[in-house]
Amino acid sequence: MANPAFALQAAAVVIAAILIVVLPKFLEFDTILQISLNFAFAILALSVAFVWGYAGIFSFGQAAFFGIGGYAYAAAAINLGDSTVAIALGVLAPAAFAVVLGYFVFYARLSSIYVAVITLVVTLILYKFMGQTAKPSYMVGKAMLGGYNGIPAIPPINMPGRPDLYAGPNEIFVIAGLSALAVYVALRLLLRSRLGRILVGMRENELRIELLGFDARFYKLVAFVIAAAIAGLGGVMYANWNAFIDPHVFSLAFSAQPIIWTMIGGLGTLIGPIIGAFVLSTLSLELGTQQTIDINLIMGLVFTVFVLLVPQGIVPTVRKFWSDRADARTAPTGKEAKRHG
Amino acid sequence: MAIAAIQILNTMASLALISLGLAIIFGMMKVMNFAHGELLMLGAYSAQFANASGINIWVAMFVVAPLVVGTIGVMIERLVIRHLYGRMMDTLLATWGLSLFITGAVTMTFGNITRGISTPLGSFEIGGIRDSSYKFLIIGVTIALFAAIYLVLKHTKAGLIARATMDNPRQVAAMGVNPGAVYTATFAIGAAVTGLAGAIMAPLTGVLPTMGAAYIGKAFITVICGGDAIFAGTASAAVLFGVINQATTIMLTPEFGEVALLLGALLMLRLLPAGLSSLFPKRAI
Amino acid sequence: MADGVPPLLEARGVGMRFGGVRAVEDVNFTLAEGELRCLIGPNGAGKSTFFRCLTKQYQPTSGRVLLRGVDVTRAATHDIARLGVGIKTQVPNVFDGLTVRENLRLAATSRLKGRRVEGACDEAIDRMSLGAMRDKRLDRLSHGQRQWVELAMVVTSRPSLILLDEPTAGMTHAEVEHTAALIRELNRDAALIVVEHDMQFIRSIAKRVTVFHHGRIFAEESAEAVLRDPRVGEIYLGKRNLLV
Repeated sequence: MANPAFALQAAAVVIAAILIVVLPKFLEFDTILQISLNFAFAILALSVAFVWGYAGIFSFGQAAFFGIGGYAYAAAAINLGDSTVAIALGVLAPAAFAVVLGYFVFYARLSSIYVAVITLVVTLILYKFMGQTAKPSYMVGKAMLGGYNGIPAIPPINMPGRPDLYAGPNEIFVIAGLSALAVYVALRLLLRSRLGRILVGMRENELRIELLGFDARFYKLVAFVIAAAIAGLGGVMYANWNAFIDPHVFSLAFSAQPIIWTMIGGLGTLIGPIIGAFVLSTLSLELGTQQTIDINLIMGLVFTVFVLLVPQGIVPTVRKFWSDRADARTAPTGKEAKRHG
Repeated sequence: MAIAAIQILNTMASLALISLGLAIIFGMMKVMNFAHGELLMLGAYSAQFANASGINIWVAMFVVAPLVVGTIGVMIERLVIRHLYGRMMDTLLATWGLSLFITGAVTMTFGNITRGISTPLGSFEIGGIRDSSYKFLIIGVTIALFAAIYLVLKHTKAGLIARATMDNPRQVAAMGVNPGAVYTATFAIGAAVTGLAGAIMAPLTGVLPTMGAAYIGKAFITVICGGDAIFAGTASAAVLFGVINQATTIMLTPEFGEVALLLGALLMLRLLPAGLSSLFPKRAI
Repeated sequence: MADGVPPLLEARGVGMRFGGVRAVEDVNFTLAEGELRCLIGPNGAGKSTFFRCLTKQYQPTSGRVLLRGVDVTRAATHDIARLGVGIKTQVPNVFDGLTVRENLRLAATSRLKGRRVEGACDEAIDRMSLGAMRDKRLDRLSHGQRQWVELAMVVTSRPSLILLDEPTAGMTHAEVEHTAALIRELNRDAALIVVEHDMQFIRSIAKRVTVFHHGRIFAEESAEAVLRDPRVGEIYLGKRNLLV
């Protein structure tokens, strides 16, 4: 570990944490809400960044896990009156779902195309299924699932054991922001660890990772479950953001978002998709309000062009640009090494 | 009893019909076309628009829709798919971007409202129970289409060339056939079949820009569980999942029917990762 | 097997069918601990297919494969690797987007934990003279260099049985000599099976050679005997001059 770089990164994290805690005092209410939402989306983006960019598993279902997390939190919070267990359920429910789905998908050694299709189908089915839960018989304890109308008045996060001390918009901002930061740091550390290296190796060459003795099916499952838990946490923040959740999180349009953020922000990095989430979700909100051009048309066009021209996304392309220039500067040494190697 | 049989046949046929175009493209070119739902939708819109403009409903469905969507298929293949051959994941992503684009374009052009086509053919009655005669059309068209595709692939020179190109493009090129043209034609035919399917299903579901989403889940499941064999795989998957879907829908709700489809698919793929095609002899179409 | 200890590797009646094609048919093969064997044969003879039946990239359609007496016929690739088998495939399978160092680190991680990983990594880099390349990405190296790194990865995990499929393909003459020297050195601690075409190379490393032809074992002799055997020359049809 290069110590100066590490110290720099640690410092950046601390500064970010401080900023997150302090900012709400200086921002307008609307901005606070907007950024809180972006924090929730950033967590979702990180789950895609991890499972796709680092573990090499293309899953359309991250938004579904996001939604399951949000719904699980909502149902639990309404029933229990205290948010602590609800948050845990918001993370564990999607993870449990991922264990089962992942087992069937990865232990069947299905190709990545089939994995993509199945995760998409799961999302579509969840959308239809949750949409038709409007009848009063669809209740989880005291919580009505509400069909396409969703679940309103979701209790916000409270101090553990003190339901009377609950979070307002400023507190949600800080909680969501620090959660996003925590996920980012945790992923950075994970990727440095033995598990992280194995996952990256698996992405690079699945056969070789097996030839080295690692069971790729197992590691894919692990990555899938971790990503589902992360997405679930994002869902919990989302449910808190507006005290509301509805099946639109399972819609095709929403499922597309984290994929687009990651693709355009930078597949293969952690910070790229976060930037993508912030910039693109804000943009699509602005564009969504104007009536001239349909938002899907623009998103679809930009995305398709990106796939055709810049498959790596913006951040890695820029990174590669700079590292290529750095290589060019040290070229003579490189050539000598090849002659001797 | 006869009504029940017709209903189940209808379910199977509908499933097979909406999946055939996707199966052709996936089976022949290994391209997973994520814009499949939008091609169905475009077929529905073409038929609806043509019909509303005065063209006979049958011509609109059987001529206009396939022609329009087939042409769009040519454009998609030339502009997008062609540049991504061999890159399956990228093709999936690009077609998915296209699906968003097409949905947006149609929403802008036609608005986000549901249009209708009245169900032609009226109804029939067996044993005191009425049902729509349209179901016969769906069953009939599906059988006819499958038969046609099978015959073309197995017994015509064009079909032979298509299959040979999918196996070994270089060999075929050395024999003077342009593989690129074969790919374009295959994609276009797959698209045309899909357009036709969308047009035929339109009277039952209504025509709106996001109608694709209602279908693609079932189509994808049918195709990946069917496997490589376009005809045998898709047909057998449609039969199997038709039964599962219908049974669950009758006992519970249509949404549970879809859940059952997915669970069935997951179980089946665990046992037969290559789909139902692996149960057929190696060279089955 | 006089003292009841099973051979390191044993294939009994192994066959591999693809549809109607019998790529490998009724192969009986035994390898003792520490033995070095070469598999040769013309293209399509089945040697690479048999190799993949051993690495479990293919599941044999008939017969059994035993590793130290343990039946591994239905095992998966990662199981075989875990049992102490190092494998180098015909086309180099390495981690293209990662550096040489990172590749070796992953190879070492499979057997070691913590600090010893770095140590094993450094050791492999020194032993295989990879120092100058250590921070280069694999996809920027030449084909011969990638083969070399893949060999290093195999070596890092300290296997007791090493399977190499055409290790010298695409290498320069000097690189081939290096590889021969490496294999002789590895043979001091491990058994090896090497699939090869290059007769010069085989001559410099081999003791016993197994000849494949039409999916079956055609002959199994000492290296000198094989090189002099006219029947072996015949099955190569036109490559006779290589055997002189």
